[in-house]
Amino acid sequence: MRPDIVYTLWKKEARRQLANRGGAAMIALLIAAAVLLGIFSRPAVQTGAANYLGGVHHCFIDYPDYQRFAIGDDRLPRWIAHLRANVPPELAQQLVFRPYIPELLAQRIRTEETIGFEIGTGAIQIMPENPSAGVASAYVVAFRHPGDRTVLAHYEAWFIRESRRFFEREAGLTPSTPDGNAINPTDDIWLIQSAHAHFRDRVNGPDSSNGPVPAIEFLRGRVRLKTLDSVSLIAMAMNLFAMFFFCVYLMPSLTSEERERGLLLQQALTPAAAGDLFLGKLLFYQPAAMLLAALLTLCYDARVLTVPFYWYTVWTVSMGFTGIGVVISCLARTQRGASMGAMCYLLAVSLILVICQALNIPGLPYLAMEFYGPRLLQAAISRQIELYHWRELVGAVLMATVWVTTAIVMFRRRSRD
Amino acid sequence: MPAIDLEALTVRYGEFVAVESLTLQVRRGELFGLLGPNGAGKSTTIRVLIGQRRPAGGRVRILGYDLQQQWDTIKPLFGYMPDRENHFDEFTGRQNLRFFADLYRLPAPAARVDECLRAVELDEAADVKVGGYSMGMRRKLMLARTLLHDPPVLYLDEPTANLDVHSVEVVHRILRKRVAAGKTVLLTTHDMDEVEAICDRVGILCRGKLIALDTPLNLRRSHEARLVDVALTDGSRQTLDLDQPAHREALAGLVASGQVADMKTRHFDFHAAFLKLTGTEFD
Repeated sequence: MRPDIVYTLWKKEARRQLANRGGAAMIALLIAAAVLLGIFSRPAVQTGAANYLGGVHHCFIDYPDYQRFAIGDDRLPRWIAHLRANVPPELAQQLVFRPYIPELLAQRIRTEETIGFEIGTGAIQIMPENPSAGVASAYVVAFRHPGDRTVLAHYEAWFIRESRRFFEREAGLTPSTPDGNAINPTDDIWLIQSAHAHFRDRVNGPDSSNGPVPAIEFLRGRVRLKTLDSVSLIAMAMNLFAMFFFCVYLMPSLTSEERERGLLLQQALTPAAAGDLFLGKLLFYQPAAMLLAALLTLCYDARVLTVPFYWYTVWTVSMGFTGIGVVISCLARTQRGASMGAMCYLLAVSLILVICQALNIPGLPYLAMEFYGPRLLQAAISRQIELYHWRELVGAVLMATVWVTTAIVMFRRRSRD
Repeated sequence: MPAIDLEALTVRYGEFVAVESLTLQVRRGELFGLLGPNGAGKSTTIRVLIGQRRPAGGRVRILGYDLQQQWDTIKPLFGYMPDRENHFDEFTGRQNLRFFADLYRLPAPAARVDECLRAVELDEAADVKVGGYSMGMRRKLMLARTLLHDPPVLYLDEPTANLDVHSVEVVHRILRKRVAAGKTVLLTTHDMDEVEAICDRVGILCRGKLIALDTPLNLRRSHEARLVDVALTDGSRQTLDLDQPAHREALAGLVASGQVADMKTRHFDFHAAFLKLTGTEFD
């Protein structure tokens, strides 16, 4: 890498963008929209995820991580094992068992906080009443729905039914059939509570407190999806669009124009190496995309810029998008082809993500930058960053690395053509 | 040592052989014209010389350096002017040249840019955006860009296409001056008059093969058709070939009988010569 040559190439990109009236108009429009959003936005209005998606696509079974932490008695592992073993096929893709740090889970159950709920998810959280005691005589079970409690009904029914069968088996009774003797989960929570108390008295006998069926306090509430306020959703979308516009649309479009007209070749015939040409583009478009995203966020809510997670996210997503942009510009022979490529890429990835979500296809979404981008940006902009967001950030960094590496390889190959 | 040394160069596009065993040496300080119809292999040869096409066989050496092995050494030693204009339209002529001058890491880029703009007579339009340039101005700006780093070897693809007579003279003068200074120029053109005016030697390519290699004068001598166009007093016209005895006798008879109103010998007809050499129309 020769810094003076890279700087010359960087200046060229900057000058071309300054002279690009269409690009300047789009940037001005985005900034105007962000200013409007910042001025007129109301405090975040929570919207139920069910309203967006019409149900839950995943229901988490949160339980204290008994394998890492000494907690309760051996009934909890058996209970969880029973639940795992009796997941009906129709819920196999939706139910996700999630071990958690006991103190954190207990605290969050009581304070009605979420552990990191995404759009269209709910949870059933199980916690011993007194985690440090040798025998857990009582449990707390919280049903967390995303705004409409009926969307979790099927999961609640399964949980109550299977828990009852487990305790019956613990008591040496013949478990009821899967479909029988279930409590209607749409009833009020006190009905579930009293039905369990009745069941416990019946199975445990006179000395109810020492029997195989523990006391369970049932709670029900909505998950706190603060991230779903529509204003921050728009801000997130603008951030994402700004980066996509710079890195996946503008950059391939102008690079392919240079290739189509022989200008890229003319530059490659100077002492500038393929690596210099690549760096000249990367060092302009990626920071420019970050800058525009930050500018939009500044207009919307300046406090977000103080969140380090926001910067990590914007850096990662813009880097990944730059990689995608370079790959498109390497594949497209003409400027028109690059524009079409960017559009087709966006449509294809969006469709794949929708299909994966609709059909519960596991794994595939994790290969798309567009899977991570909205989630991470939403978390950063709404300042609701959970542990799993950091895991997703790692995934995003990996994908960005894959794209940039692919871009370097392809750019070097194409520079010889 | 030749400036450009092609030895049994073969280039293929799949099954199609674009250049077949081309052996050619262009000397230092020579202005060499490469001629041929479309698809003859001229552009492919240039693409090999600028490193854009890997040869299927043979060897290429530029100023003694092997093209395959020493590409990074060769890159700054040549300038390339393509047949299609390619500038940043949103930049001025000066900004375009300055960008490339900086890429070439010239020691005094501003002065060199001014010098090149003056050389192609674009100094007055230097600060006008290239989007407002005429085709001729764009081509002259390309030549200026090619000269920026003062390379010892120039590859020019139809450098005078779309230029007016004066601009053609400017380009010819620049090229002759460079050749006089010991630099080498390889140009492709369709214009035989241009070849005769400035080239030291000419190579004619047809279907990937070199079919003629000589000076323009020798080429003219060996392939010139000695035709005479005769206008008769009765208004009719005849074309007579002086190489044929019957035509010579007919011409003598016409002159003796006083039937000739006007008579003129034909100029060298490159197209006819080309047809004679290749059996193909020059495209």
